[in-house]
Amino acid sequence: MRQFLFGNLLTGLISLNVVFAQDADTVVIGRFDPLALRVGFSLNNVLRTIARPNDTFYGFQADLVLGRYMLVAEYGSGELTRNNLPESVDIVNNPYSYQGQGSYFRIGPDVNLLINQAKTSFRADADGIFFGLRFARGQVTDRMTLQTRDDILDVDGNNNAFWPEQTITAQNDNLGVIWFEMTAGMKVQLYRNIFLGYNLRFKLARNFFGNPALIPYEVPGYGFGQSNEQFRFDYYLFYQIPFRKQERQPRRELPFLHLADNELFYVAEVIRR
Amino acid sequence: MEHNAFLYKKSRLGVLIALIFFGLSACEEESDCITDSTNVASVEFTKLISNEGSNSEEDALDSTIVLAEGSVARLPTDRGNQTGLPLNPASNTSTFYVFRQTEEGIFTGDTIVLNYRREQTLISPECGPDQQFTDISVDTALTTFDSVLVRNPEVSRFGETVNLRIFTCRYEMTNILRLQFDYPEVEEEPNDTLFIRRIYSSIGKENLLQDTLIEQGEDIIVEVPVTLSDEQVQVFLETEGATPETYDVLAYYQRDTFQVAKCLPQDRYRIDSLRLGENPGRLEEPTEVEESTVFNINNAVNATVSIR
Repeated sequence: MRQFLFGNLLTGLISLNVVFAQDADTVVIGRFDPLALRVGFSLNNVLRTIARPNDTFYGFQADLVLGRYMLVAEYGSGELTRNNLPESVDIVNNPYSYQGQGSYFRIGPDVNLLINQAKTSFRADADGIFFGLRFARGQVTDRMTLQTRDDILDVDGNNNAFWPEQTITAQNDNLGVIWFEMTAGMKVQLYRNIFLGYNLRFKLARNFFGNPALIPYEVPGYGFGQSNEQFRFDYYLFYQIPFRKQERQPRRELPFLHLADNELFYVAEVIRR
Repeated sequence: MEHNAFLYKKSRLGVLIALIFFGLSACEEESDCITDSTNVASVEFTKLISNEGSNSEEDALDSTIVLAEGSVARLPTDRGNQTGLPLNPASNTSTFYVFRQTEEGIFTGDTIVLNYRREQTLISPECGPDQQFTDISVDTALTTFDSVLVRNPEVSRFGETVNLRIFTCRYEMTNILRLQFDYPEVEEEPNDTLFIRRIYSSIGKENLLQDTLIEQGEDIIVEVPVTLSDEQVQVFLETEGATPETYDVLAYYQRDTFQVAKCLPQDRYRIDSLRLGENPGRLEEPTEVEESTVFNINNAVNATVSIR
């Protein structure tokens, strides 16, 4: 699976490198010059909300582009309901119902790795391959009702021989949770100021505040509450608000030819063949 | 150097294809329904022989019956020295009553209160909920066990370590002084016998020995209980038709406390010195005791005195 992912990443990287080379309408910018603000929303959350009637999830992201760096703030919320499925067949097949809701924010920097490819002349407010870090804080309110199970068996091999089955409820009220993320991804300009991008996120060091009796099934923005680490993707559609006009330079002929000796270009050629 | 311009015309399409590949890869992982959680905490009973700074495991175990508060069911204890205590899945505390047959027909009752934390999770919508029992602690205020150790605070179906180990100790230290009276042979009186009317001590009113005839060359052993508060005990031996008519033995002893792992602290007595007196007559000088001086059920004699 990981090989598959990294293979895709390499393909994307090379492709985007070529895109960059093709659209070399460049400006010379300072190190932290504010170039643009991108605001966007999570596509997969929208799709999930549409596709799953019991789920309502939203995610928003804003990037302030400062030279090759981006200051990123994210916010999202989610709500879900789960009930036992009639066809459930497993060792813990007990009636239950679960409702959870919560919100989160993330903040952290990204760095555009494409900058180094073009040295002094680039379009930092356009396409990008980035790596970043996030600090995330969320809170969850959830509640689960379940039937208890006693593992002492009776003579017929049935559970609950010692303790009768009981209905119990566990819940969290605004349970706090923090985690960190390492993220990488791409942003591609689809049309004028419209961008499509994805974030590949490795989430780690998940910590609930206190010792919750109920581990949230899903922490909005994080994923499965039981897992200490998560590996996830997010897709975003952005609109970019540029802070200044791009100074167009005379279009060079086949600027990619300058990359003839570039190893990435060579790899792209090899893959194409 | 030649380059294929077609490559660059297709490049944006390549990016989009890459994104789609990522999209296919972003499907949520499916959970499996395997859980090792259970509400049955494993308990192992261990009986130790506690003696003079060490202990060893005893083969024979007490017959045990385990009941739980709030349930009429009796727990099976047919797995040797192990049993399972089903924790109440609707509470963070469970109380168990353990009845042990320490001797034939004699049962000792103990109450074990287990406190624990329950942690509920939803494994997945398909698998359903799960409840784990963690952070077990024991309230031993109402037990007579020597020790109850939490070896594994997480209750698990496949756990390799038992959750609790309960130790009961059979002590071999005692508060009984074993005093031997020798009646040595003498050539002048080859058929001499001594009739002992009674032996008693300054601690306790009961006779330790009564109406016993011993021949020369024989000895008798009496078991003399001692107490925490005193540091000496006087043992009186009354004869009939002999001279002197009465002997008394003044035994000085010391007491300290020792404890071996997993067993309760225990008093340890050892004899210090003896002094034999004849009534009427004089008291002899104290004599150092050479026998095994610690009061232990494995020591046949702690001190010996000659009464001729």
